[in-house]
Amino acid sequence: MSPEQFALEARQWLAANMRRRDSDASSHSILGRATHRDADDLARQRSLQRKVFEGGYAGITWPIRYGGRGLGAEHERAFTREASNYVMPDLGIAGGTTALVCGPTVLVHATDDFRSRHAPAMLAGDELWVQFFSEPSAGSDLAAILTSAVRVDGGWRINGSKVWSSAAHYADYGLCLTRTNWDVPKHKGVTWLAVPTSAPGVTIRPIREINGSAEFCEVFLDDVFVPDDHLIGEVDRGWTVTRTMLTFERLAGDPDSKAPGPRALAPDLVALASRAGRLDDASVRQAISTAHVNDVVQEAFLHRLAALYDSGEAPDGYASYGKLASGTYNPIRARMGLIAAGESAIAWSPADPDGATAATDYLNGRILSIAGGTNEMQRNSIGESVLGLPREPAFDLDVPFSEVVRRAGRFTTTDRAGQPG
Amino acid sequence: MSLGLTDEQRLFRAVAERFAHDAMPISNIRGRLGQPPSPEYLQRTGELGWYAAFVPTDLGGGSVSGRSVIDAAVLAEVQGAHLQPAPTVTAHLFARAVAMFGDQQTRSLLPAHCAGDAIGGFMFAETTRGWYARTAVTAEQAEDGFMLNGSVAIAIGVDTAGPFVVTASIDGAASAFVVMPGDPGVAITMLDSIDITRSMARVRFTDVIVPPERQLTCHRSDIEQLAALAAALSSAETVGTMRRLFDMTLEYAKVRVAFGRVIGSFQAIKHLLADLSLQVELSTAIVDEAVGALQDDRPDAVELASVTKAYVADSALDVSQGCLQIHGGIGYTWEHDLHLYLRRLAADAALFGSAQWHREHLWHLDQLPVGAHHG
Repeated sequence: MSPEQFALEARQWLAANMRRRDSDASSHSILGRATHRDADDLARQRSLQRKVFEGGYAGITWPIRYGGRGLGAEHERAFTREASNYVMPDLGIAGGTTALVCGPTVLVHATDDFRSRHAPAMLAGDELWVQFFSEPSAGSDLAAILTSAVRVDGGWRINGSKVWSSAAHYADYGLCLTRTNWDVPKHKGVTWLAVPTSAPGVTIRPIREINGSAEFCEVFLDDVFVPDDHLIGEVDRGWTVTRTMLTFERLAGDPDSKAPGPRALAPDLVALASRAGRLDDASVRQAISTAHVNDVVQEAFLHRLAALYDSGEAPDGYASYGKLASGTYNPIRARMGLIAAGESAIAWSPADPDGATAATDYLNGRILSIAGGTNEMQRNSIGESVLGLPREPAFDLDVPFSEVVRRAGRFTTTDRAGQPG
Repeated sequence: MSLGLTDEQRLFRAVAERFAHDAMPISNIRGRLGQPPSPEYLQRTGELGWYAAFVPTDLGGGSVSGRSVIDAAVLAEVQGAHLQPAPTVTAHLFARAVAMFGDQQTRSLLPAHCAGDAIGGFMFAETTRGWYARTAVTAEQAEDGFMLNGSVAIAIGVDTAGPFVVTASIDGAASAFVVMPGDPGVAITMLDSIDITRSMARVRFTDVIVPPERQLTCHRSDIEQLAALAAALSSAETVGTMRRLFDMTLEYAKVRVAFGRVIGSFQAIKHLLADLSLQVELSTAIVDEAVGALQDDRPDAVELASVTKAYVADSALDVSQGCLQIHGGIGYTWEHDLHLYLRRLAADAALFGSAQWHREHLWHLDQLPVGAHHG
């Protein structure tokens, strides 16, 4: 079926089955706002998702045998365009991690039996999946995780804790990175296990963030048992799965590329400055223009990125430029918001929420320079993969991880004699 | 410009690169610092078609691919990378303006222009633009045509002895005139410049009489388009220079050893290089976008050109500074080529509107309410 035919079919189905959006009130904010999800809302969204699944429009690119349609990215984009005028299921961040990160990873690495059991449930909205990934002591250095899984009769016993697990508080499963071998270098002893959030010993607590909302969670795993068939990928070879997942995560984070055409000068910032009566200040205009220029340049870069990938000319690691660009320019944009809003971003009347928007955007301004791979990690990746610069010497690559942990305890600024080596 | 080029454009680029490499390498440029390009150089580049993209075929010109803006951008990048002194940006503006808005007499200047014998120039001087302080030319009706008065603070590409177009204000409107360097009342003073790879001049007009047929039939919006073309092509040149300087610096970081390691292995250097290369890549992307928009007459072309110049001008300075920092002391010597790039990029950042000017201009293009009109 051609994408055009598919779009036509989708248009008819949407018109017959879904409710049209009231208005096209679109928020320019670069961030999805955290919303508290009560059980009723979640149930409504899940049943809406089931309707889409039963109509045949969930998992458009997923294989047919796992509940998808087995079509191409073109078809997916066609559907997204058609659906943009309708109220579609909103399962929040967990919906995104299920469809764009965990699901695709499971499709690549899980057993056939596991895929058959879980993939259709993911598409139907019955199973929401999130990542149990970073830990308090393993962020950028993800391979340094300390959560352990020990083989027991019929499965695995997990102990440890995870952090930054987005939306874990309303998810059904966590895709969990564990250490299963401490006697080999850090990348060579990790294993992925699926953990039901309802399993005994799993405790999930939302973390209150800088902006007051709570979309991330900390997860405690105390003697949690999971059966053997919850293994994803091979034992001790989990780093391969991790790479797959990081790739999907990076792709999921890419903003939509818009069609070329005239675009207004940063309308959100102009509105802020206008309400604050600051448009006659040349330095404010320069700040807003800078934000606009950076927006348009990033958009142009996405066209270049797509063209380079389509033609196969993109060097290894080139996509890191997209992430570094947003990690570099979003914080600047947030600061430009403060400049545009002036004092109204510092204190405002509860009746006038505009100042609050600028303030929140500022507080959220460094999300993209930290989350999903910090700017520093992108710079390493660009420096080493694209520019061909040598790695820094590392202390932790060719030694058993248990030894790395032991040495790290001695590596302090006051104890020079204790330097590893 | 690297994406989606035709075979003809790739060949054009390769030939231009080989010419620059063989006929005017950096060592030659060093031997002629501050001097105008020689007549032989101008003629040879003319033979290679460097000034032909906007000249109609019946007047000796023609573009390589039929897409003249893209051809011009391809050439501009090569020129920037090899610090060539050929005045192609202003030459292209001259050709386009005369071809589109000139009459038979002014169009008859194009064959000699194209051949490199009398390459045309272009300067923006209608008062509302005001890229530089002390730039403003006015025209008034006179008995035998128009009388021009005023001055252009910085002009490039006027050392070819060819004719040039100057834009001027006339009764509050904008127009453009073809002027001969020998017209009475035209005073061209060569300037010292931070950029010693090209020459720059101040041009003063004192009661210069221009016959009526040398007025070009163009309006403010046409001049706006020409200025956008200038910004985009100049940015393409900048990207060529910037990328070459960056590549030089990257190579240096891979061989220079300190503390027992090549310096590019230190994150302090590696991260700076990654940030600079981000700016090079984004600059390349936005130039491609603007050039494509101008080629296709997209409605957002003028805006994109200003976005491009604003971003690329700032990046040119950032990349220059970062590359000098990574070179350290050696980069501060006259013998090292780095300063030739650094100087050229500083000039590029200011020519055809600075980043600040274009950022302010974006407000006017968007017709947003601001304070007093700039300029």
